[in-house]
Amino acid sequence: MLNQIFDKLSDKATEAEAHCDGPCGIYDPASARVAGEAVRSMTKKLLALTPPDSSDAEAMVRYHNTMSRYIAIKEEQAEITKRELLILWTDYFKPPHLAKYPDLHTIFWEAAKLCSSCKVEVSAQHADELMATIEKIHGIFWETKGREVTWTLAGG
Amino acid sequence: MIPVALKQRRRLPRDLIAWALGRRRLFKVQGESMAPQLRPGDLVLVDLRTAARPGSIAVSRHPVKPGTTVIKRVLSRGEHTVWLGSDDPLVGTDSRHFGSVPDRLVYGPVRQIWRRHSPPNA
Repeated sequence: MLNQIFDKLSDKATEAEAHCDGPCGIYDPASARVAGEAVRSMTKKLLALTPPDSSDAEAMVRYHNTMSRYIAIKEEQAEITKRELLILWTDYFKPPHLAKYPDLHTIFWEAAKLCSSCKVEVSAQHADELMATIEKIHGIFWETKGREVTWTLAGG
Repeated sequence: MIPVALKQRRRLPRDLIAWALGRRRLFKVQGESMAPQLRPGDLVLVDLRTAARPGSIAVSRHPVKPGTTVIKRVLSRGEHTVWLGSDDPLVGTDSRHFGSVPDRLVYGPVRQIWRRHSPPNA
């Protein structure tokens, strides 16, 4: 009987797609770049935070709340950056690319390591290095596609 | 028809009432990109009154292809947008391809997942 109810409901339900509705094999380093920018932005905001007078309890709470939020976002976006980079590395790039760009593995390895550093630390230097490495990957990626795509930052 | 998670069983009465009041909407899953949690043919009841949080599965209008509805996992949230991903990134098309999705396009988070119970010889 439950199956009959299920089938009736199924006929009425709107279809929601969980499959590939575009040509698969669409990759773009932009998703890593956007997440990387968020990491760098949060790092800078964390470094710019000034602690309030410790006797002001309310200001202290606000300060810790803001800091915790910045940290949470930084960690989350660093993870996303790493995942997006790994997708490019493992799914998009193929052996012929490696022949043309012999340091490809090193670049991705360094980029992934920088994601980890940016997640663990609050380092403007590492955040800048991460963005520089993503830019390098952006350059290689679009070169393999034979297209010239300008490196543009969402955060300016 | 079996609920796949115990947690949603506890929510069932609340969700059924909300559904009757028009606060939930039923969708049917197509495709494999959310496997193993969602299989093609599964029914999902979506909460139209709550914003989808990171980690939850949400149903949304496609930001680029009008008339298309997608079901994906919310990976992160911006100020007025969400970033949607497939559980199986090799199969799905998601925010990696169509970018972040404005909140107004998102129906909401999935509250109930129902799968047809097939008899063993079917």
